[in-house]
Amino acid sequence: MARLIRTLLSAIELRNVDLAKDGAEAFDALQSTSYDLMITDLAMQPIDGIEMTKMIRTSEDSPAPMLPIIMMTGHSERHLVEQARDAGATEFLCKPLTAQNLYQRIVAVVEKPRMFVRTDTFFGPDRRRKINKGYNGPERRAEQHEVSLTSESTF
Amino acid sequence: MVQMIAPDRRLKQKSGNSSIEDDLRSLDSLNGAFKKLSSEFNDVICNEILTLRSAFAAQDTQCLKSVYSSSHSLRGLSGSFSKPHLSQLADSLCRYIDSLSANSSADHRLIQAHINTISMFTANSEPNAEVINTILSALHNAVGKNTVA
Repeated sequence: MARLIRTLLSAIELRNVDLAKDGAEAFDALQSTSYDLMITDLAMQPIDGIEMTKMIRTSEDSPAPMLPIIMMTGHSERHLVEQARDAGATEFLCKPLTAQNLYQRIVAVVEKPRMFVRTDTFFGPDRRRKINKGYNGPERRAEQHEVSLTSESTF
Repeated sequence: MVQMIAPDRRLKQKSGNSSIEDDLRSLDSLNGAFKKLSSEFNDVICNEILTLRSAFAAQDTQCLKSVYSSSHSLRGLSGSFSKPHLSQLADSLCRYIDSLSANSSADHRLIQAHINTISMFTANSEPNAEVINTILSALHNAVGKNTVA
């Protein structure tokens, strides 16, 4: 599957692509090379896509905690997708893979990069995909937390 | 405390502004690459099945992990190249291995049955849908029984 992705990326002029056989090898590669984007499978051994994403986002020695991560998954189980989201995956690419889905996810990462959120328990892309104007529930984030914006904030 | 951090815009700066024409051109290229890969798909699948067979034949401590890894690849690749029956067979094998707990031993006959069926349907370019469904159903039942046991 990794070779398939590399061939497809090459077709859209993304030729500088490295492959890693598992999460540990990918994390090691980040130490020596600056990457623009990671596309990973969720199911890998011994370190799966969720664990690897946690390492990239929160390890003290992570060189790229804000690296965009597109997570490929054939899993329809909601809890696995939620775990990957909570680990800090940027986008999801559901199998079977199609040219259109792959392109859409890459465009989303490039054109609409999401704000990152840091709390006591989470660091990763903002998990809220849309603003619900009709929301009447408690404003948990506003009530429980002081919100600060970094100097690079584009608000 | 919640800290909001603006994302890196380096990727956008690198890619520049794209037009709808650029998007359509890129999608055409991707679809073209997909079609080209489809014609090479059988070779890729045959290689993956060889890997699957040798992983199972090894019967070593990594056997189940290697079989899972290979069947996982087969599931994704065959699904992406419009071979749903092959994807379903590989999925059934993945689900069976997933269902095994650390203390339960695998039924090697059931794994062998999956591998044989995958090989058989790969060799047959236009398998009969009724036959596929019957075999899939039998494998699902067998996996279900083994999982409950």
